[in-house]
Amino acid sequence: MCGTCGCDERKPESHAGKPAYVKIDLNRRVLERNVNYAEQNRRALQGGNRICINILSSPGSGKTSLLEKTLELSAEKNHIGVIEGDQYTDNDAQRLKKYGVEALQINTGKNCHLDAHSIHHALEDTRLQTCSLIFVENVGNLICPAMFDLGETKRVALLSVTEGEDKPLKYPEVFAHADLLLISKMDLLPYVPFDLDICIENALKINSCLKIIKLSTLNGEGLNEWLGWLDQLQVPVCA
Amino acid sequence: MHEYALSRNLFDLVEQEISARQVATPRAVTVKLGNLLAVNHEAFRLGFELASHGTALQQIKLNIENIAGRAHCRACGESYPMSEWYSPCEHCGSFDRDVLAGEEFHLVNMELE
Ligand SMILES: Nc1nc2c(ncn2[C@@H]2O[C@H](COP(=O)(O)OP(=O)(O)O)[C@@H](O)[C@H]2O)c(=O)[nH]1
Ligand SMILES: [Mg+2]
Ligand SMILES: [Zn+2]
Repeated sequence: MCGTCGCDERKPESHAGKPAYVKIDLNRRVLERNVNYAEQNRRALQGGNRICINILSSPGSGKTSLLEKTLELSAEKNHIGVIEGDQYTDNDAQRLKKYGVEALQINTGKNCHLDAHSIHHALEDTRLQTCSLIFVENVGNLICPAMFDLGETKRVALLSVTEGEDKPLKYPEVFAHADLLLISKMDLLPYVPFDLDICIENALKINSCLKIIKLSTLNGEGLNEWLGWLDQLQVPVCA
Repeated sequence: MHEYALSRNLFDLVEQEISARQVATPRAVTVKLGNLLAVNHEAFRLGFELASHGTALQQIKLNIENIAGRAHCRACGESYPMSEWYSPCEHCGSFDRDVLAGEEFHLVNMELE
């Protein structure tokens, strides 16, 4: 290969002093479009004093169950809205509508994650306009959604005790960028060889700032702590 | 697999640059990719091939520049290589850190004949 410019030509003299190509510096983020929409979403949320929680986990870790319990336990629900991301069906949105809240379903089809553009449109939807607390249940997937900032206020990861304590090490990105980790299905702990201390240690190796709450929607463990965490986010942010 | 969505974003950026600058199809583009990101290089390449297949962009060579992870340790103040998300500080063993490098994902440049 030519040492002057990297072309396949072996004889540098054939260039006669000038390179065979020009390099144009671009330096643009590959996810620029998503970054821009995420920034817009964040500004719109802040401007409207609205809070948006992006929930990520594998399929079946208990995201929808947690939202059901959260709605059940919330005295005031008028201000709560939900955006449900699934590849297909509106099952989860239907499950949550039973609690009298607005629940928008986004079907991502072949896509394995929600992006900031789809959330942008959902936030503009009149049904969510009056909601000051918006939950986003992301597509069940421990890898793909992690790279897509939605402009959310906080990011919450769920990991159930049946998934194994090594998952934070195996799928680090979700945990690296989460603000809160919920270790779910704690009621099943006696029945599975899951080392809770190791799981927590692993999660903190990835993200030492991670706040962790152990919870079960079945026996109620940790739900108060979770509601408390949500409450402290909703302190009015007036200057 | 999110790599296809990522490749699609790259394809759109390259297309935008070509039409905004009114230049011919580049012979190559270079992407900087941090090694802490969960992006499989081969899947990303394949995604770009699929996205550009049958278009003028299919002749473009995709160069991927791997950026090594690096962190600043909040416990001892040193910086250290972070080859994995679970790499501790090599000076003091702490995991309390700020990531300095390894999450880059940029279209660096394009090469025109
Ligand atoms: N034992 C137990 N099962 C749970 C708990 N939370 C959810 N599940 C069950 O786990 C399955 C998946 O829950 P779902 O909320 O649909 O998970 P999602 O895919 O993350 O939304 C359902 O069968 C739930 O009943 C829990 O705290 N304890
Ligand atoms: Mg669900
Ligand atoms: Zn250190």
